[in-house]
Amino acid sequence: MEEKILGIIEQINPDVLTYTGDTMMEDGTVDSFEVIDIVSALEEEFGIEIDASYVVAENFANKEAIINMMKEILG
Amino acid sequence: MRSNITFYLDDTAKKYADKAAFVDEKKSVTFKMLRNGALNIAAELVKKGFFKKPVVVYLEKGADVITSFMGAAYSVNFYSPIDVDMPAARVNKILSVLSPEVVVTTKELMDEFAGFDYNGDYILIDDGIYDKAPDQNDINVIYDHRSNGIDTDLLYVLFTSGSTGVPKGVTINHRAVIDYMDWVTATFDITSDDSFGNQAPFYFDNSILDIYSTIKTGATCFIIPRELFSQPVLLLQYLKDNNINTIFWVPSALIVVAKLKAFRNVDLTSTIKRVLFCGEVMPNKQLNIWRSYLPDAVYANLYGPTEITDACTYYIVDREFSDEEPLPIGIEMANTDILILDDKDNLVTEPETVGELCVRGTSLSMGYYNNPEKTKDAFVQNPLNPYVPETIYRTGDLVKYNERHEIIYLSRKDFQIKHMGHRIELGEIETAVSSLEEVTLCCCLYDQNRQKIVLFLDTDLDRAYINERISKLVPEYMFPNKVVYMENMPINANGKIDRVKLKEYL
Repeated sequence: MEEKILGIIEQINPDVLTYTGDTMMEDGTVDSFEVIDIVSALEEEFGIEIDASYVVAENFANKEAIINMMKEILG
Repeated sequence: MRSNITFYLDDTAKKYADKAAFVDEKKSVTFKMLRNGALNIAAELVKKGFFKKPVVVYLEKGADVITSFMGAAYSVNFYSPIDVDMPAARVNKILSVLSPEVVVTTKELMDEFAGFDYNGDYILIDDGIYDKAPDQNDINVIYDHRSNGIDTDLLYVLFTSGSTGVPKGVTINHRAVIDYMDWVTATFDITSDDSFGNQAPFYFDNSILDIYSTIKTGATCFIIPRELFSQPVLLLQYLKDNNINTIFWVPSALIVVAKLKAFRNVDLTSTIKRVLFCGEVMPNKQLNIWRSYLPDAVYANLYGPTEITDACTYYIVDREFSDEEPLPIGIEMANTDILILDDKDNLVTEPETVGELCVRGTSLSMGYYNNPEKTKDAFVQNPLNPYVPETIYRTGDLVKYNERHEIIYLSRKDFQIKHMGHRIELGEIETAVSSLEEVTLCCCLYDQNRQKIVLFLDTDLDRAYINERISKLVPEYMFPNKVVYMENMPINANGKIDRVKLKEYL
């Protein structure tokens, strides 16, 4: 699963893979459109719907945060 | 007849003294506080002898910015905000155009500003400016000063992207904003009961609607924290919690909310009354989502470049649209005339004929500050009026009328784009990238469907490296979203990079 997620992220914004901080959304490493792109690609890949309430800064703090969010969603 | 926008603030501060005017993350500034703070800043400017001079405002986004703007206006000077995140090279270019002699900032930010090419005066502000009004004597001096100004004196200068890399300073006078405010507040029936949720940065002219509607009517303006715009549920909750009933956002902000279906989490049906947008094309696909969740709200598409004071045409959504249809930019505002001119400068009146949208009216900028050449290109004699001097502004936007005689936006004549609400000359990005020693040829295109700035270049460099290098030259919103390495850059018959060919690689 992790590999699939990282693959999706790489397609949309490869900078996320090398990002080492934990405020990716606030400092503009990903913009709001890239967040949407990541969410829709994850939804498609895993055949799920991600509720808008997941789209908060802490779930997009860095690539690990995105992976953890997906683990939570996929249970 | 009012010669200065601050007369409106005098009225509102009397009528709604203790009502919240501008609310940011840290504080709520009432109309009385706003006026007191502005007068304190004006008193300093007057004491220092500034009159009809540029006043740079260098502050984090918040209520203090508006207070500083009004301080400049009271003293018949004009403000020009500089974003605290702007790269130094761009700030310096702006400073060289503006040659300001005074900057309003804070003690903390002053050290940063001192690093730019600037040796002038500072006015340092803190929350103390709101504590009390200047004494009556000082106020009288300011009023005297103000009575020496006229309504065609400048109110502000906002800088926009310039293709050669030098930003252009769009000048707007008091009269133009008063004229626009009359239209906005009458058309949308704005009163002191309304509250705005401000998205637009104050260096972007969409904010003019939020700022001056609030000052004119006694409404309240909530300055929404920027980070909420990528967290849609928190954003909608913020609107609900603060009872915000009017928003005027760039379409990209509305699209984020629609795409993530955040309306299912927060019910805004009894909160939102008006949804206005301007700054780029609003796709009906996303607007239809807004309309399905908030069917009773008024939706209006405003259109216009900074050069004509925020907007010059509008369309109040009055019928159903399919997802694929374009939303009209509508009809001209009151006291504004739109001329659609074909490539021979003939007036277009028939539907489906393409021409350039040109504007005539009080709303027109006085020109680009300290830049007669660029001014001459865009602000020209009305070709339909050979009798008296009459300036029109050529927007560079290609449009047509539909069968209902509504104006439909088609495209740009040149290489200017709108990306995330920002107006960008692709040439400015190319100029920045060309400055890297590794690069010989480069070309920027905009992928409209994916909303990405795509950079083509003849050297294999990665995006992170390029963005880091150009970060000193252009703001972050101009960074390429995608970099494509072309071993052989296609060249057209004129020896220029073949943009048409490159488009195929998008």
